[in-house]
Amino acid sequence: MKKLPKLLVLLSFSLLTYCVTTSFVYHFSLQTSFSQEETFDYNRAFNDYVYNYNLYRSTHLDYITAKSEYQSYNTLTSKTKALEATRKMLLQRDKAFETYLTSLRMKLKEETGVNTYKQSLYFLKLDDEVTWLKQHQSFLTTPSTIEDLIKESRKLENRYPSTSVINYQALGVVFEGKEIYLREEVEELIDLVEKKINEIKASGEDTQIMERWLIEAKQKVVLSQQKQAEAETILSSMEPKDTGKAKNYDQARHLFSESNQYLKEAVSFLKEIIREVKRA
Amino acid sequence: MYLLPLVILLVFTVLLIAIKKKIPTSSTLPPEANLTTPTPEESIPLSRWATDSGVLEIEEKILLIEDKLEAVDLQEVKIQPPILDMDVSL
Repeated sequence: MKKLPKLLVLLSFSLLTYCVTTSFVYHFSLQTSFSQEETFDYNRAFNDYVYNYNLYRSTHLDYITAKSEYQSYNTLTSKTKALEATRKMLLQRDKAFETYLTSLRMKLKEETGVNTYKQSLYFLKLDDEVTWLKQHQSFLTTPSTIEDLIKESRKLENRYPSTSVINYQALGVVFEGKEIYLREEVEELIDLVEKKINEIKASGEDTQIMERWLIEAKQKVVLSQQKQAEAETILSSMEPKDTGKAKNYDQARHLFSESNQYLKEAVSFLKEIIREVKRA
Repeated sequence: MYLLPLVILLVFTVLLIAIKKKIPTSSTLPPEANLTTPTPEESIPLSRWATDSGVLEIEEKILLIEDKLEAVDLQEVKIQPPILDMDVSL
């Protein structure tokens, strides 16, 4: 009889421990899943893309092997294998491209300095492409004939030139955003330096050299803007039928780098002005 | 005949004296000789603006923006359009 209360205490303690642990685990798992849903960012989207792109490469290798076997033996077995390998590859091609577009969208979303109008415009364009690709995937989920598969493949192949223009232009908007953000910071700095020079001038000191250098720093910012405008012109005039899209994109990217170089020079001039200010 | 060893000894002694003269007696120089003339520290006279809070703030901002301009990725190699087979046939 004496043992009974002890047993009861032990039992109730175990029950309490179980309840606390269960509720803690439940609460923690809920929080984790919630935070995972919350944190769909560029990194997550990019990892999805890398995963799907690797799958695409693997299925593409299978497709090449199956195609080669079918062309060599022309048997029903090799035909069936080739059909399935092609279907899987086409499906994965769509998924890889879809996840790439999604990561590009996230990049555009997270980049500071991006022009709001352009951001919305490219969100719409990228979303359209993603929707199309998702619908297209539904045609590739069930086994089909070779002719049907090739027909479905052609749909994306015909669409791809215009989508790649969107890709390059969206990447251009990302670079543009980076440069806009940096240029705004440099311009703010120029304003601060100008105010300080005016303050020094008002105190009766000679500021002619500093003023001249400030003009040169401002000119560098103008040159930076010009380079960016040139890059934007190249990207906006890109057309689906252009054969040298990648080359044009590289040229634009180079111009963005030049634009950045001018900003660096402007800041270096400001640094010299401050050195001069500090010198008696 | 007896003179030959004497001549050899004389020549040897002369040579030894000559060699000894060439070798300096002490390899260490006097401490004064090791002292290089110290270059006077270049002290640029600073203006009264050198310690001005506004100037120091600008200086800090310049360093920050310099880092940002250096670190900005204008290549985005990772997110270049993927290479996909766009000529599928069977």
